[in-house]
Amino acid sequence: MDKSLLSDVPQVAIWIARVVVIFGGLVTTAALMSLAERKVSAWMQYRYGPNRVGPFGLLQPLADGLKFLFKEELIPAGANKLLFRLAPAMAAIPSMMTIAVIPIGTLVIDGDTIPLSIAPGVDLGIMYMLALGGLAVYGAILGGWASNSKYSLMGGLRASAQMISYELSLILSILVAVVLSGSLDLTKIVEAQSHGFWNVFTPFGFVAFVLFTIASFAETNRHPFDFAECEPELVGGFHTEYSAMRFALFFLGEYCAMTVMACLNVTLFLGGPSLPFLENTPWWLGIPVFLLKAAFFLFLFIWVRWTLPRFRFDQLMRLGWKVALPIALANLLVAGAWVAFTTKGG
Amino acid sequence: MTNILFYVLAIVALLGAAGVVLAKSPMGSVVSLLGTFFALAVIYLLAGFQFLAGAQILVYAGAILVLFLFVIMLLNLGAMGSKFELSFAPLQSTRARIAGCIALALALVGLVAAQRASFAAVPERDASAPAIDSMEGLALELFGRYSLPFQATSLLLLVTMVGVIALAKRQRSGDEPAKGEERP
Amino acid sequence: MLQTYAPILILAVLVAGFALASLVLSDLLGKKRRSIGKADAYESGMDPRGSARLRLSIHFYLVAVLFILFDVESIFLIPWAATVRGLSAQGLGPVMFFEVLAFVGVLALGLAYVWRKGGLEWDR
Repeated sequence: MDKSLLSDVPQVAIWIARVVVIFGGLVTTAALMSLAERKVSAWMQYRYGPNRVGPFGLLQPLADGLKFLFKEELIPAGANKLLFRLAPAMAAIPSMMTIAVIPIGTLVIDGDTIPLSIAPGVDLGIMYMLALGGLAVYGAILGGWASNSKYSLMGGLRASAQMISYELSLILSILVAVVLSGSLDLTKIVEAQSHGFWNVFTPFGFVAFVLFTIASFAETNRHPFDFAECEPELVGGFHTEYSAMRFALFFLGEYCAMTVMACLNVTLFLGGPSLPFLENTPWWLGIPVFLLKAAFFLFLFIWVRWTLPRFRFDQLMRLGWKVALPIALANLLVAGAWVAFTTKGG
Repeated sequence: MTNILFYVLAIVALLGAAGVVLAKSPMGSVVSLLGTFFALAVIYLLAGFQFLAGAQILVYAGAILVLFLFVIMLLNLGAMGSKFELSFAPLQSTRARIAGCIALALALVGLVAAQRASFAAVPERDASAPAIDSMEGLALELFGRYSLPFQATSLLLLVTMVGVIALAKRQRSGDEPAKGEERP
Repeated sequence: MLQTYAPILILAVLVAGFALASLVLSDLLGKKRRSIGKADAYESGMDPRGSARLRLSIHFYLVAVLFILFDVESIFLIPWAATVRGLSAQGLGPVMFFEVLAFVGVLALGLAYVWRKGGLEWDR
């Protein structure tokens, strides 16, 4: 056989197949996360959690989705109608778009290697992620402002202030992985780690990994930094006034953002689809390994929620500006110095 | 395909720019500006400048517009109307007309300059050097030929930092927080 | 360029379609029953009082400006971070590192100044 199975398939079909599979996977993960959140919370508190819809409550997200569709959409008096309608989409779209450059692994079909990533050719993948990820702040701030409600406004403001504060440590810790791997291309960052030596094994890589994990909690407004919707103070935060599908979109966006953050963490510091200390990981093992690693971080998001008490907002800002930012800067410089002075010309 | 996309994006950018001027509420202006920035970034991308596109979104859309939003809320300008309305009043003032004429003249100068491609100030690049839009080319230029402007940028940022502290943190007698100051 | 970004364009269309469809469907399918008080802003069961357009604290402004400055800084660091390995092999590593050190040093000085002046203090 001199023609491989895939040589007749047009490129567009492969593109569309990848988009559908990965985007479908992302939305499914986000929906399952809404179930996992409640299930795991329930187990940690010695309850059952949702168990009526389908086996183990597995169809609960579907039921929720249908219910969201048929609920009344309220628009508070004095709200800016256009922005109020637009904000949920502005919150959900950027976090769904950022999945495009994450390399989940490779498929080998009949000798052809297909990278399982929506856009594997983007050589400035990190730039793409940072740029689109930074836009997620608008959903929170515009949604909060457009609601014409005090709780929403304060929630939106807090969310945006915390997201921009932690974005700095996030960028600087991502850059450590870039320095260590020598590329902005996520595929190449994974390749550099694919021989069993992950970025997290270096001291600066480890510091960056810890900072990135902390910053990803703050970026996604998760506990212990969930000031945007810290219930005893601000009811629901910027989505207090939202109902029905608009509310669901905010939530879906948040869970998608968490999923992407988990995937990015795995990609940058934990070797993506590779196993530690192995020269080569077989391709069929890569995808499950990647998903397992990402699943661990998703579990961590829930685990931390029921383990740590919530910070205060001034503590959060102090941690971001006075602890995380200086450490991240110094760490990046040390990593850069290490690479600059130890790489020999060849 | 690239041409069609370019024209669509250019129209979006122009509509957004018109929206910035004509929107009745400052909030509407900010959202229009966001659209313009986004369209511009995609145009850069079409032209092959990926880094510029990313920087455009990261800095302008992701940081500077957030500051605009905060300033609008700080000055409480946002409370005008609950709908997205256009107002043609700004076009009727003399000052706006003068500003418009100056802007138009500058745009024309830029257009003529681009047409005549008179970029004599920028010396020819040597063809063997890495392309300027690649990271390597960018780094070589930034840390090589343009290292002085690069260092000057940090001083500029430092001055801004001092300035913003001078503006936002008025020295009060005894450095005590003023009474009745609102806390977030 | 179009080749590389075409899948992202497809994704963008899909994502925007998804968001739009769920908003429109919900708008069409959802019930609409108006009643007094339903459209009031939620204030824990009390009638809303005063304007919801609060003036925000100057701290938010300060945080946003500082964010822009450090964001610009990290933009400048990106070309360095991406090429430090490749260009160090050509012997340019130390030169680039000291340039970046000077650049970051000046900004660290700025951060120290802001810190000293209490600009990072949220509760003041």
